Amino acid sequence: MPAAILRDKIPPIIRYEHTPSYDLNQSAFLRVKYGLIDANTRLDWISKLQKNWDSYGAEPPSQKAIEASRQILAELAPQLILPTTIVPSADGGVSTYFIVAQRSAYIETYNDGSQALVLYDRAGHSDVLEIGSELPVSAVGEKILGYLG
Amino acid sequence: MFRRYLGEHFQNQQLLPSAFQFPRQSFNREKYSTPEDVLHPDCCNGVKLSDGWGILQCSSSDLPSPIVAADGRVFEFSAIHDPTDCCYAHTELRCTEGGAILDAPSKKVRETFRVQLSQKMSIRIPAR
Repeated sequence: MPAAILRDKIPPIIRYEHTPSYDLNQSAFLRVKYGLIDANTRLDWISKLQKNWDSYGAEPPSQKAIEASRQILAELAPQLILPTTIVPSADGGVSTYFIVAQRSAYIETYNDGSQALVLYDRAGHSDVLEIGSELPVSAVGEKILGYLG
Repeated sequence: MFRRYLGEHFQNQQLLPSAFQFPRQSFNREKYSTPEDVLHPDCCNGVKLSDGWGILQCSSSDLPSPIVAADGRVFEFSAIHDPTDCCYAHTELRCTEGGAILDAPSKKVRETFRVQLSQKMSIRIPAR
């Protein structure tokens, strides 16, 4: 199926409100619960993309990339960290973004299942950390919160 | 240089680095192309695009180059005119180290380049 037709079937971008609070009241719980449901729905759709979905020959996200993205979102959710957006990456894989004002962070999940955390601002400063070898999965949330404030 | 992008890769007033693959990002060279040509099937591997695409613009002199890795290795990036059968304006960005083409530098170099490249782009025609 041509990429252009497939793209029409992708649901609109789901926007999430970043919540840097640790207040575990009921509304926060529900926000995380439904935020995760939305994120997983978005990943379900992204998983249906086919080769050349970006018209420049991009590979579709692999099942490894989709599952690794789900796992890192589940890891972050207890810290009340929900993504701003999730998009397919033209490099293959999935990109999960967290954006607050002038600063952004994204987790690039490659098709081989490996992941990198990228922190950057609009002045062009960036830092790239390979998750696993340089940054434990358990420390990703703290790193994102520390950077985005 | 011009390049098409998907509307979903523009969020919160910024082009997301995810709009670019690595390596060999494709563009149309401005000398031989109008902006709209990047949406023409001849420049899209024969695919007729539907709605949801916009056009980016940047100058080859604005490419983020060089990028110096933490270990001191220097990676240069440049635009090379690389015509295809159907799209004479086709141009590729190439990464070189010491003059040799390199398609797979480290993730740090790749992501740093994608971030900086996305910030060099301006929207010529918004996605709709």
